[in-house]
Amino acid sequence: MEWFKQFTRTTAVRLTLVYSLVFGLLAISVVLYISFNTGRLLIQQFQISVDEEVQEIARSARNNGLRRIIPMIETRSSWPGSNLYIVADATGRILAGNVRDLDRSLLSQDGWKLPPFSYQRFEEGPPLARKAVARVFSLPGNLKLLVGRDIGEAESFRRIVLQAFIISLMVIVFTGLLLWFIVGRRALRHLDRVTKSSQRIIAGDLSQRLPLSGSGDEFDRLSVNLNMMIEQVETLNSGIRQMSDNIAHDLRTPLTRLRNTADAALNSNATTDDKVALEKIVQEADQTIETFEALLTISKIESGARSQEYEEFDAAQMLVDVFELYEPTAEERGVELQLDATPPLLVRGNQALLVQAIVNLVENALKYGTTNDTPKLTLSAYADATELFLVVNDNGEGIAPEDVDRVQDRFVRLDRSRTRSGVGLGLSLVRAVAELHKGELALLSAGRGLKCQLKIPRT
Amino acid sequence: MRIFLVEDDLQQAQQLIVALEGRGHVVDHAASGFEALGKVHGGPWDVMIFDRMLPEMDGLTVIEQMRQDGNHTPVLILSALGQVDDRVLGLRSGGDDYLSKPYAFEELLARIEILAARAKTDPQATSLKVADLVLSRLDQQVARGGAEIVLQPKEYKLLEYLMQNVGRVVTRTLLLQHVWNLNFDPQTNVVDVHVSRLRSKIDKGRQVPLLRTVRGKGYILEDPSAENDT
Repeated sequence: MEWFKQFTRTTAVRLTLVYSLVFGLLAISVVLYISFNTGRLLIQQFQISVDEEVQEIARSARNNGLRRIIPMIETRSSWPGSNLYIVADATGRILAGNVRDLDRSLLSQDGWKLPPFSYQRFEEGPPLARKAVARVFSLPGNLKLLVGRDIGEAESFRRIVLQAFIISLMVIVFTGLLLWFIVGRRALRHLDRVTKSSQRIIAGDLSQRLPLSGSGDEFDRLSVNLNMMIEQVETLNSGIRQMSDNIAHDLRTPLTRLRNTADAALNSNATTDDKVALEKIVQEADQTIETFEALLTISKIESGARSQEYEEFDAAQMLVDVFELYEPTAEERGVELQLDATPPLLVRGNQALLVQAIVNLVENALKYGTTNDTPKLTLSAYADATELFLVVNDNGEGIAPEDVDRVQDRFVRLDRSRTRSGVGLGLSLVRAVAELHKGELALLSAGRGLKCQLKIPRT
Repeated sequence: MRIFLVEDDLQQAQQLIVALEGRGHVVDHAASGFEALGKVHGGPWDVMIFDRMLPEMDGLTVIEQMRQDGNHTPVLILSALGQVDDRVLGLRSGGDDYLSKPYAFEELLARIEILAARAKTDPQATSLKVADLVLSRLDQQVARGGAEIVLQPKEYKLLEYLMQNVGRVVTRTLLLQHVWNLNFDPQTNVVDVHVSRLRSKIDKGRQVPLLRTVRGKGYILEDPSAENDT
C-alpha cells in the first residue's frame, strides 16, 4: 500500500490520472449527445413518413369515402414491419388496425403523441410492452385515425451506438491506466536512482553523480545540469581541503625547525627560567605539529587511497591489545576497564587505521566519559554474519542528541571552555576510518553514558 | 658513529649535519640519488639516513640497488610521506626504520643509535643480562638477583626491548612501535604507566635502580656501575 501511495504521488502518474479523467468525461458527454441526437433524428424521420401516410389516408377518405378506409387500413396493417394503425369510433372502440390495446385517452385529441407510449399488437402471442410514437387524426364521420411507428428500431440503434461508445471509453481508460503504470513506473524507478545518489551526495560523497537514463529526456537534462552543479561544489570543496592540507603541509617543516631549535637550546646550558619557557615552546610546537599530522591523516583517509591495503586480521585480538595498552592507565585513574571480546573475530580491513580509531574512542572516553563516581569503560567486539561491531561504552554524562552529528566534524569540541587538551580531530578520524571501510560510526547516548559504535562490513 | 646522510634539501641537511656533529658523529653527505649510488660503497658507515624524495632517483630505488649489491648497513628512511602505507613500503624496500618528517632530533638520534647497535648485537641471543637482571628467551623467564619476577606478556616484551638496547635512550614512539605495534602516539601517557609498572617490578626495593626516565626523551635501561663505555 505504501508503494501505491508513493506511486500516485509522482507527477507522471498525476498527469495521466488527470488526462484520463478529463478525457473520460468528454467521451461520456459525446456519447450522451450522440445517442440523444440519434434518437431525435430517427423520430423526426418517423414523423415525416407518418405525416405523409396520414395525409394519404385522409386524401383517400375524402375521395373514396369511409367505406374504403377500413379495408385499406387492414391491408396496410398486415404488411410485415408495418406502421401502427387504428381506426376507432368516438367511444374509443377500435374498428380496424393492428393494435390490440393502448391507452384510449391518446385517441381523444388530434396531433402528435410524442413521448413514446406503450401498446400491444395483435400478432404477438404474449402481451409485450412496446413503445411507439403516433399521430392521431380525425376522419369524417367522427372516426379517429392513429398512425404510429414502433421506436424499437431507433431504441436498439441508440443502444448499439451507446455500447460502442462505452466500449471505446473503456479501452481509452484502460490504455490510460496502462500508460500510467508504464510511464509512472519508469519515471519512478529513475527518480529512485536519482534520489539514492542524491542522498549519498548529501551524506558527503561529492564524487557521486546523478544517473542518466540516456534517453535525453527532461529528467536527463535536469540531471546533467545538477551534475554540473555538484561538480562545481566538489571542486570548491576539494579546493578548500587542498588549501588547508597545503597549509598544514607547508607549515610542518618550519614548525619542526622551530621545535628542534628550542629543543637544542633546552639541551644546552640554559638558565632554569629559560628552560621553563623553552619546554613550553617545545610542547606547544609538538601539539601543533600533531594537529597538522592528524588533519593530513584524515584528509588522506578521506581521499580513499588506502583501501588496497586491506588485510584479514582478528578484530577481537586487536581490542584485547588496546585493552592491555590502557589497562594500567585506567587503573591508575580509578576507571574500571572491562573487555568483552572473544578472539577470533576475523575481518578484512586496514588494521593500523582501525587500531587508531579504537584508541581515539578510548582516549575520548577517558577524557570526557569519566564523570561518574564509579567510572566504567567497556570495550566490546562482536559480529553477525555480515557486520562487525566495535563498541566503546562509558558511563559518563553522555552527549546531547543535537550534538551527535556536530561532534564528528573537524575541530568541534563540546567542552566550551576548552580547558582540556586536544583539538577536536579524534572523532573526525574515527568517522573517516569508518567511511573508508564502508561502515559507520554511531554515537548513542541514552540518558547517561555514551556508546560509540563502529560498524564495519566483514568482507 | 660514521653516518651517511642522503638529503636533497641543503638547508635541512646542513642543520642535521651540525646537530649530529655536535653529538660527536662524523657525517658524509650526498644530495641526489645518483650521487648517493656512487658514494654508497665508500663506507664503511655505521648507519645511513635516506630521504625518500630525491632528484634523479628515488631514495627507495637506491636502497634496493644497494641491498642487491650486498651492502647491509642499517638504513633509516626519512620522509615527508608520514603515512602507514609509506612506512610499510619503505621497510619492504630494505630500510630498517622509518621516520616521518617533521621529526624531533632526539627521536632521530635515538633511532640511529639503536640501528647502529643492532647491527652489532646478536638478535638470536638466548638470554639478555643487565647487571643482575637476567631475561631468558628460552623459557621467557625474568629474574633479578636470582629472584624470579613475574611479568605480563607485554611487560616481558617491553623489558626485552629495553634490554636489547641497554645503555641507549629508547623513545616512547619506539616502544609503541616495537612493543605494541602502534605507529602513532596516543595522547594519554599510556607508555609511562606501563614503564612505571615494569619499574616497580624490577627496581622496587633494590639498591641499584636500572630503569631510568630521561626527561623529554624517553627511557634508558642501564647498569650504573658499568659506566665505562658511552
